[in-house]
Amino acid sequence: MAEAFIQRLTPQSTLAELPAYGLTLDVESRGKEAGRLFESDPDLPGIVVTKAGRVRFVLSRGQYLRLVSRNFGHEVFDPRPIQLMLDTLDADDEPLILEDRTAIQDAVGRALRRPRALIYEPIVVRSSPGSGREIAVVDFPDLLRADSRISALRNTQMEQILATVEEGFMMVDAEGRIATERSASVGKIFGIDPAAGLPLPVFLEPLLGEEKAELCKGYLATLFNPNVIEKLIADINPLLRAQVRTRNGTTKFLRFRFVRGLENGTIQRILVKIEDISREVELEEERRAEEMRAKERIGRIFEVVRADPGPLAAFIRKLSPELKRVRQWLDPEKGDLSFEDRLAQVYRVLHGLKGEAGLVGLDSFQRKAHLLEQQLTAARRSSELEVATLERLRNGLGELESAQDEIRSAIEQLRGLSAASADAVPSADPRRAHGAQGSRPINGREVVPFWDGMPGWIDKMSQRMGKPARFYTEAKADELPAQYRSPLRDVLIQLVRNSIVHGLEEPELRRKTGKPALATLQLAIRRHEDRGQLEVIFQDDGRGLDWQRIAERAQQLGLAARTRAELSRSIFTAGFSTAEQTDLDAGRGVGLDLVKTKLEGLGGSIYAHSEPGTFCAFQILLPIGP
Amino acid sequence: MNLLIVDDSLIVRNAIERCVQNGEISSVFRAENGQEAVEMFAHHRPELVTMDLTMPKLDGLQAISRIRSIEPNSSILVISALNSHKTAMEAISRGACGFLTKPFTEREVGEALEELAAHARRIAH
Repeated sequence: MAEAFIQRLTPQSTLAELPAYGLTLDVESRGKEAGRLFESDPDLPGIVVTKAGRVRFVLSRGQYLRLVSRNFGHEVFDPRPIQLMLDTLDADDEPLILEDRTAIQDAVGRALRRPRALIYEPIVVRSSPGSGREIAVVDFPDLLRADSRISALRNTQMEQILATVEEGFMMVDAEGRIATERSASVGKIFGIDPAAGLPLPVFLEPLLGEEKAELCKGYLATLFNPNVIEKLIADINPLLRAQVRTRNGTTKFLRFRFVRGLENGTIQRILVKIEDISREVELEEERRAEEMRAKERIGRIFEVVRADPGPLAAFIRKLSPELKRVRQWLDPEKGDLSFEDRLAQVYRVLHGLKGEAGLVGLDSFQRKAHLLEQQLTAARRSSELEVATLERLRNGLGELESAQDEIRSAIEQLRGLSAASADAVPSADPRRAHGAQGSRPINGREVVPFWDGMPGWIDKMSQRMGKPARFYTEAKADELPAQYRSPLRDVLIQLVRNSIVHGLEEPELRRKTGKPALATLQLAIRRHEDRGQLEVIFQDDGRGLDWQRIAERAQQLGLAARTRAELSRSIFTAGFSTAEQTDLDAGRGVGLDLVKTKLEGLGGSIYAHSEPGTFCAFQILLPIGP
Repeated sequence: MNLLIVDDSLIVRNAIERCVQNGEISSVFRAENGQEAVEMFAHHRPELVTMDLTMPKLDGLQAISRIRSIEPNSSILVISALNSHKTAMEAISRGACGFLTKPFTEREVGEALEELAAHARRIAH
């Protein structure tokens, strides 16, 4: 095998430098044509299959061999169009097509994000127009080999830079003055030759700034202090990595090291070594950025591992259609909603997704949703052009969409880890989630309750808010009609959030008022067959509703505020919330309003009951059939 | 030679003690705040001291001053997470011989203690 290409790679190499195989066949060609091509070149990793001149699929050697090695494989596939192979492989997805000027390391990243089943398949490389080879196949192992070679090259490059680093020396006397002895490179490094007799800190001040120069002065004094052990102050050298502005306006990084010069056991002078480490710092930063990206990828995988599989699968399933709806609302060309209505719709969906992401443990998604929600709130008040606002929000939405892709790809990567661990990972694919291969088959007897995952989330969130709380219920999942599960889940998330953020007191205050420090959140479900009603009660043992403040706010908004019942109704009005700030866990008045609308949509209703200082309860009534 | 380890964290005190490989160090004393450190020092007069900076009762900087007023030749190494050049210089102007920043490896502390012991020997001669 030709491995010469490996030797020619540089850290900047692109896909164009990898062995490429430009054989194509039309979907209408016979299967035996493919067989002939694979036989004629034993290295050929795959064939580009086109349909009406467009790339449709890459038939890899592995896939071809798997098909024809079936019983009567040759008999079935050889005389028939390649299309049949594609149908048999269930090849719906577009193959990964990359430009030939894509950097190898980026290409590996993209290739690894393909669905697990396709991860080892070849990739398609499209070359810039006019270069002759329009479309070709690159073998995945070649790509991996190239990637590891480039990583090795980068490390060597780093070492070479360290070896050829520019270094200068000068001497400083007990008064900190620069001596005449210095290496020629000193002038080159600083862009100016320091005058002999000038104190070092004075020389450095215009280059490093006042603060660093002052620290340098202190450090020099320390070095001349005989009580100080030279080796034990290297840690606090303030100039290990000093950013320097040179005379011609450029910035570089210098490393100063100080070595004592002893004469007859006393410290007479200090040798100052100066290295230009700009390139090293630059490479280090590049590497750190790359590490950060890798960490983020891994972090997402961990999030997925920790997440509760049932709720996560449900969340992932609804995520994609919800984000699509949001994108449509943000597109002024689509639909005839007013600008305000668009923002309001988007806000509701985002707010819901944010809560659920937190619930299933996707903290990074939750943070991103929160950021977009904040943008949205700002957009409502801004005087910017509406079209511009929508465009900006669409960009923000892109962040969420790519977070979604990354979560899916994390799930896919995990699914592949082992057959056994696949049980712990929900499928990102709705077809599979319910099917035989699904992660958690929902059979007739085991119903996932709508509060699934809630205890863990409440634990985490209440800890974070500094108000530890425990979730408690004796309700059974099968007491609920199936169509209420998803809406009640949304409602419960909102109520729990409100409760923890606004309802519960700090443990200290709870103790003072004779309550247990650990708060309790309770959920109860009762079926009233006689009334044809389902009653869901959610209750906390927090500070209760502040009827006084509610009355004030209701009056401000011009709502009826005479009786408890009227006050209780007023808190479900849009924009009612009295909390001043919005944060990750509780929104701005959208919550209870949203809850009420949702329940009324189901023919239900919600009521608030509270005893100040003791509890707050929400009673939900929903119709059930006879 | 004797060593006094001063740190308010038991974990850190244990970690530093594990680093003592110097055969010359015969006894190790431990104190969990500056107040206790000064009392221990006055009583046992250890040649070597490792000193944390942020501690309850009496902080490390004050403890260094008091220890040096009891014994101007004591060898004190600051081991602190406080990575401020100003504080480090302050510790040194009060009489510390060196400064090691946390987190540290056992090897770093081991070598630093060697240096500290060598320094104490030079002073004694």
